[in-house]
Amino acid sequence: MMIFSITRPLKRSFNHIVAAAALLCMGSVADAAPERVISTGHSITELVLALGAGNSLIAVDSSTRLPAGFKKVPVIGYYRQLPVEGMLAQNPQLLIGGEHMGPANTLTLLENAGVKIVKLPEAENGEQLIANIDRLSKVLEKPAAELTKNVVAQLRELKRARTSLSEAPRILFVRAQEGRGLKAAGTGTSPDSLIRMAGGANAVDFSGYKQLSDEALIELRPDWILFSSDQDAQLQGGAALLEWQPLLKLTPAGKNGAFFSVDGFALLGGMGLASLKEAKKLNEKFSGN
Amino acid sequence: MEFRLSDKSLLPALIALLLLGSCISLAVGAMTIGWRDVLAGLMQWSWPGILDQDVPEQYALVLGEIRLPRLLLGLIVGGTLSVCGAVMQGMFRNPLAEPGIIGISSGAAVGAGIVLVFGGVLSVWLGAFYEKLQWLLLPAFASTGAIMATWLVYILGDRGRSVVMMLLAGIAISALAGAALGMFAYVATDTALRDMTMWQLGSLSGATWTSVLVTGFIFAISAGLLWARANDLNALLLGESDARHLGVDVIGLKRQIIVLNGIAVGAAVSVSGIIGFVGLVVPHIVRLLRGPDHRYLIPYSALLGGLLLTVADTIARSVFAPAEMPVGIITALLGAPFFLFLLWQQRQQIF
Repeated sequence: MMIFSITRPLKRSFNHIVAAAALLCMGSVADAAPERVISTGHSITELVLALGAGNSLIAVDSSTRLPAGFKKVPVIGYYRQLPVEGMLAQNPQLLIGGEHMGPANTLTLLENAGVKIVKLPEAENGEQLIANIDRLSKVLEKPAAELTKNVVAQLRELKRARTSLSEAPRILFVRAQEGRGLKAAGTGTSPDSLIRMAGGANAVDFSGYKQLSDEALIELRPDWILFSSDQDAQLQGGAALLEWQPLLKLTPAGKNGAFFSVDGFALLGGMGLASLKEAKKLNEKFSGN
Repeated sequence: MEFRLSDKSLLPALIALLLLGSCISLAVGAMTIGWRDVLAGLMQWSWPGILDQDVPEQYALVLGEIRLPRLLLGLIVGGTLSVCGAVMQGMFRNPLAEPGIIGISSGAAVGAGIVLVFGGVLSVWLGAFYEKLQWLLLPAFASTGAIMATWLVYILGDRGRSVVMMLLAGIAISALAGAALGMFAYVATDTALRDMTMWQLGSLSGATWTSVLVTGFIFAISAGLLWARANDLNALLLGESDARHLGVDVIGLKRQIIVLNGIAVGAAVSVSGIIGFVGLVVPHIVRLLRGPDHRYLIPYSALLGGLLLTVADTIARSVFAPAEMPVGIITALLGAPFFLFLLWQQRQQIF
């Protein structure tokens, strides 16, 4: 159908313009940097902006927080449940997102409409983050040298800071609900990557988020307790945790009031630039202890 | 205070509303398309070159591949849920019966949960074959779950002889399915967990021509077969022994209803997730407007169910455009107050 509309003689000037615009949007992006980009996933949008492609960003998903003062762009919903028509209405050339972007049906329809789709794997470590930056810089046709250099420097700095810790502190990342106990983040979660990057050892060794029994808390002896910044107000910087879970007072973290609120956006969609910053902050806390 | 409408006024009104709702559903969406272009786009999509003018390629694609299949899927799923609800209520002679209550939806949800949570394990097991089968797994497991739950309820209910046993077994199976889902949620990774929640919220956004054809085919056959037993269902309303004396094969009728419902709801749920409320409310509204005669109840329920779901879906995908909200929230918001209003108006008549 696309070929058909190209070969058809265009009769009216109005149609001419519309068709030309449509073709421009559908055409290959190999020869020119994409000008209309939708980015989903906070850590990915962060990279897009860091690469200097903010001007071509036309829409983001609901998990993205744009920096204060950034132009207002439409929010197209949750990255696992992207609406086809809502996205097509933005007239995008390129859609960038994590590996969990979907549903598959939406992506197929978008591809049929000529939108280029780039799925990046969730970065679990520094090398994967740098690989993602490389891939993005090629797709967006923006130089990556400066950003890569910056990230490499941050990673090196983190590595040095990790080795300078005399021993790895035991860290517990919790999600709390009043009266419902604590859920802790085990292996294979974003908080776990963050803890390891900052030089800590996760106090729990199960996988995923699991409910903790009250007594296990004492047994785990966490030196630091972390929670996401969206719970910061609710937990009153950790004071509420001690109230809800008095047994916590018996742990090293409870005794020292060693609570830390982690930027929630650093925990979404794998490792990103915000995660590096949070890891650095965490590491400074650990070494100051 | 009688508030019944005759076919002369009800049927044209419903059909007119259905057509109006369908047109609005086609014309409204995140992408602004004028009504002239809607017509042109549809014609261009269905028969490229029929018009002497050029229609933007995007319009034809949005209308033909997104809005039209979604509209049809809404009509089909709404119709399926409503007809199944109407027939269930007739069979159980219980105004609360709907596909959810005898465990069909829960069975489907467990089937879907298996795929969403254990997809990783399945992929190791099936190897490269998994990639090819992936699109089919969710619908197939959901339908299988629905049919198995229905079959279990049927067996436990003494092969359809005891309605009370079937209702109780349905409740027990729903509880069991709830436990299974809770177990899945406990072992699931957080990404699988989010997929599961999203799926259970229900949405028509997965509409493709394949899903429209499959569900449409199943809907046409099962609704047709159920409609053909409308007189027997009417006899069943008098009570089972009365129906038997009137010459109705009661056990055969129940068997047929359960199998057809399992297949139809399984198919609908597997493409749209769980959309509650339609199956419960629509048959009640039709009964209040037209009376309990199944010869009219079944077709009217199909029409009204399709209308309700289409309108709800149009709202769901345009209110927060370019984002969308789950349609189940809207069906409840639209259906519940109307249902309460009708109940209030008819309170003396019912009890």
